[in-house]
Amino acid sequence: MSTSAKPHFLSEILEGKPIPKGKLAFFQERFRDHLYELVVSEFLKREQAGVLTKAAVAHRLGKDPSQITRWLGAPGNWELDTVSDLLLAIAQAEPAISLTPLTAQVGSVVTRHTVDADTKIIPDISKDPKVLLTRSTLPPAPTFTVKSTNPDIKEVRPEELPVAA
Amino acid sequence: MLRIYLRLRISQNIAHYDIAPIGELTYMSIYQGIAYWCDPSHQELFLIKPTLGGEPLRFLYGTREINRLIEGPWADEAEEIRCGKLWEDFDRFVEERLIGVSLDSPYKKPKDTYLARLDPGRDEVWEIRSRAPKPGIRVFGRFADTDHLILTNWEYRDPLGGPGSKEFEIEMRKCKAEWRKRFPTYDPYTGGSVHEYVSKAAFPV
Repeated sequence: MSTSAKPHFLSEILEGKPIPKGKLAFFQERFRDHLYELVVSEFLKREQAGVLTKAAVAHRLGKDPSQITRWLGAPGNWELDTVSDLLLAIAQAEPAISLTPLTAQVGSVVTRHTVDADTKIIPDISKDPKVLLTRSTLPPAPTFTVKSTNPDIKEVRPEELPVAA
Repeated sequence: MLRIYLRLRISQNIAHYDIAPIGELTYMSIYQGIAYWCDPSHQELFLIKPTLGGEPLRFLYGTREINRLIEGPWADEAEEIRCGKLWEDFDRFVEERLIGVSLDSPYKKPKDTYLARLDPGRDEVWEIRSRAPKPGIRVFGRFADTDHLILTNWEYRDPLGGPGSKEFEIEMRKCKAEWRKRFPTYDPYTGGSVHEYVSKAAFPV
C-alpha cells in the first residue's frame, strides 16, 4: 500500500516547524513512561529475587508504604526528585543520561497505522520449537475439500444437476 | 464459507436428492478475518504500530472510531493533547513494555492497572485504562488471541459512572456488537491466566 502522501509523524519536529500539541503530549508521556519502566523494572527484579520490599523502600525514604505503592503503580504524580529518590533507594544508582536522535527513526514511521506486506499479523511459530500448537498458536487452516468415500454415490457437480422444467 | 452441493441418485426410476458431503468447506481463521478488515479496500480495522516506527511486538487493532483518536480530526486542542498521551499508552502495549493486568478483580484492582477485564468476565470485554492526565479515557476491546487485542470503542471515564454502572454496560454492549459485526462466527479469545492473554512483560494485579 502506498502511503507516500501522508506526512511523516516526525516531520514538524525534524523540520524545525511548530510542533503540534498532540505530539508534544506524546513525547512528554513517553519520557515519563521510560523513567517509570526503569524504576519499576529495577524494583521488580529485586522483589522477585527476594532482596527488596516496598516496605524496605519506604523505610529508606522515610515515607509511608502506601506512598511507595502509589509511586510504583503509575508515574502520574512523579516529579524528577521522585525518580532520583526511588532509584537511590531501590538500585543504589543514578540513571545514565543519553540522547537518541529522532532522525534515526525517519523512514520507519510513515505507515504507522496501516497493514503492509511486511507486517506479519499471523504469528510465525515455525521458528520456535518451544511453542506448542494450541488454540492460540495454530496457524490459519487452509481451504480444503471433503469428498464422499461412499462408492455408491456418484458426485454430481452443480452445473451437472438437471434443470427443473 | 460453506458450500454444499445437492446430490442426485436415480434408482428404480425414482430420483433421490439429498445433501452430499462433497462440498467445499472454506474455513477462515480469525487472523484472516483481521487481515480482511484491515485491508485498504475495507479499512474497518487499523493495525496500531509503534508511533516511532518498528514492528509491533504485541498486536493492537482499532476500529475507525479508535483510529480517529490517533489520526484525528480531534474535536479541539484539548482532545488533541489528550490523544497524544493516549498514543503513548497504546505504544506501551505494542512495544511490549511492562503492563499491569487485572483478570479477575474488576472492582478491587489497583487504580493504575493498565489493562483490565470487565465484569462479567465471561463476556471477555477488556479496557485499556488511560488514566492520566485528566480526563481519563477508557478504550474497550476484546482479545482475538494471545497478544492480539481488538479495540472497538472508547469513552471518557467521567461519564461512565461507578463500577458496574449502566453506562459501563452500554459500552460493553457496544464492544460486543462491534465484535459481532466483524467476527460473527468467532467468540473472543478466552484464557485462564494473565499470561495467556499477554504473553510477556505483564504482571497480574
